[in-house]
Amino acid sequence: MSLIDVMTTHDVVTCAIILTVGMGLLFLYRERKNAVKHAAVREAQQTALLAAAPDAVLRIEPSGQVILLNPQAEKLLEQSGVMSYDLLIQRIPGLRFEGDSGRERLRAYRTDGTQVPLDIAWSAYHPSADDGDSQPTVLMLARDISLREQIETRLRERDASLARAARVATAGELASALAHELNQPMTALIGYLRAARLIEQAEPRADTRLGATLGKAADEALRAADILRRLRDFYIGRGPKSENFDVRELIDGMLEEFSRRLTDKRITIHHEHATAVPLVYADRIYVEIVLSNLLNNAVEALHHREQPNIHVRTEIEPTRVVISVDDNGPGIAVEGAMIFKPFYTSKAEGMGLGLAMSRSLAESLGGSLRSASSLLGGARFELRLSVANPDTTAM
Amino acid sequence: MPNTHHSTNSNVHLAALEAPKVYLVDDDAAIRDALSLLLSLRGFDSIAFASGEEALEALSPSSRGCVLSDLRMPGVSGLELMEQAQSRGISLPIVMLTAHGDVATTRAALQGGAFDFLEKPIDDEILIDVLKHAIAEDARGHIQRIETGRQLARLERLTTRERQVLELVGRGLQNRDIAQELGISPRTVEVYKARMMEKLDCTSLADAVRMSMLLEESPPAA
Repeated sequence: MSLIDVMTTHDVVTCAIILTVGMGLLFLYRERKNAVKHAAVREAQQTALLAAAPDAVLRIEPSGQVILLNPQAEKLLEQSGVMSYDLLIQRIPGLRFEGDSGRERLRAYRTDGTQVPLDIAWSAYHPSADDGDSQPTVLMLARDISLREQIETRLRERDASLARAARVATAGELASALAHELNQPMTALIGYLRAARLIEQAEPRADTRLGATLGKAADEALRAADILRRLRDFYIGRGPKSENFDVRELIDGMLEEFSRRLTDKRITIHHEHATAVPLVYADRIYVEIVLSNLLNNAVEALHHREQPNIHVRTEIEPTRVVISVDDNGPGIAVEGAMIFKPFYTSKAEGMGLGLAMSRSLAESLGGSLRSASSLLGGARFELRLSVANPDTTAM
Repeated sequence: MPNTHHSTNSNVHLAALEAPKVYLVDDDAAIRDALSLLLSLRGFDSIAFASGEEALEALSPSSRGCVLSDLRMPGVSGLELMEQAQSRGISLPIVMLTAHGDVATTRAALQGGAFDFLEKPIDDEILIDVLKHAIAEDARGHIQRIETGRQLARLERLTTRERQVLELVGRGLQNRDIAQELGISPRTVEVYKARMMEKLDCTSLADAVRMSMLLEESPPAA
């Protein structure tokens, strides 16, 4: 006999209802349990995420309480868990939350007196939609940018020292060119004055002042020449500080930096090195000044050109390393030697010292700088540097 | 070193010398003009050229005096002028005028045999002093070359035996040792020696020893 047989229809209906309600309750219970579990997982994930984030994360409650949401925040502000809004402002002066969101660079002052540069981003929100009028909650991220700032400072300093060295070299070239150009008329002038004195001495006049005056004039001319000479010595006399180094590293570093700063992003810069490039013996700063000069010239030549291109290559010769810079600009319009002369320029605002100075620097390193026409259709410059002598390695 | 007792002979050759001149080479017209004037006032005979090419055309092995040349010139540079002059047998001392700080080229000029170098602008006292020395050096060198030439000519007059005797005298050997070396009697050595001394116009053994030093430059008669 089956169970159904002994139950009345009414019983069956009652049973079915109980079963349905029971299952429903069970379902609801399960759902709730799942929801609780999900929330826990989410929270764990959030905590892990906050702990892994590079930034300090904190929440500023409308009450003025600041919740430090991860260890980074605690470490940065030297507090655990919670701190007051006033203390936060004291630690990060200038911090203000106006509007819905913001970004700024500020400094955190630590108790040991050090400062930490920060990149700060924050965003305000209202936790519940019906709470629009009350104070918002603010979520804030602060990133320690000490490292980036250090790199930026170093780059800036390097730029400044390079610019200073280039300025000194330019002034030296100017002094040298002036001394050279003025030396010729000075030589003639002194010759004439000495000759005039001799003529006067052959037939002395009653007025003895003429002879003395001619002597004084010659002395002054000699003094002027001496000033030029000292001026030139002042700039040239210090000479290069050479050492052995791998020119490829210098070029790679320079080009990376140069490309980053290039305002005309259409220009592509290719570079390739010969395999097994020997070390060169040269002054890094001099090489950098020469190369940046050549690169800047190339960039200027490529203004308004279609598909502008610069190729930088290192090649090897028996006792030299050749660094070539090619461009597909309009090329050199005049005879090669001309462009290296001081005060020669094809630019509207140029002084005409860049290439003259670059050649002087190359020659002072025992190298050379030459121009040629490029297979790319524009100009080509070849900087030759001496290969390091194994004997000088110890120097 | 010229021998004093040949001075009469030397004077004959000196008379045939060209008068010493300063050959001034500079591409700058004002410098040529000023220095020419200055040199003439100081009693120098000078002749100016605007380029190394012009100077080379005018110079010859018989030119006497010295060259005063700018180092950096378009075309033939001072260094090239010096090399080409040397290869053409022009023995004039060359004084280089350099721009200040032209260290590398100055060094090359001195290594290449420049007599001296002067930095522009130059004051006249130093210039005159250097030029006087250069001209004196040229005269000394010239006389010495004449003297050497004459001695070589005398050496050529020696017979093979006389040459051998001279060579051994030059090595400091006594007559007896020379006789043994050559397999002849000391008396015969005495005769050869006397004839050799006479042909060479030597009055002392020291003169003969000095002459023997020229033997290497004079090939033995065939």
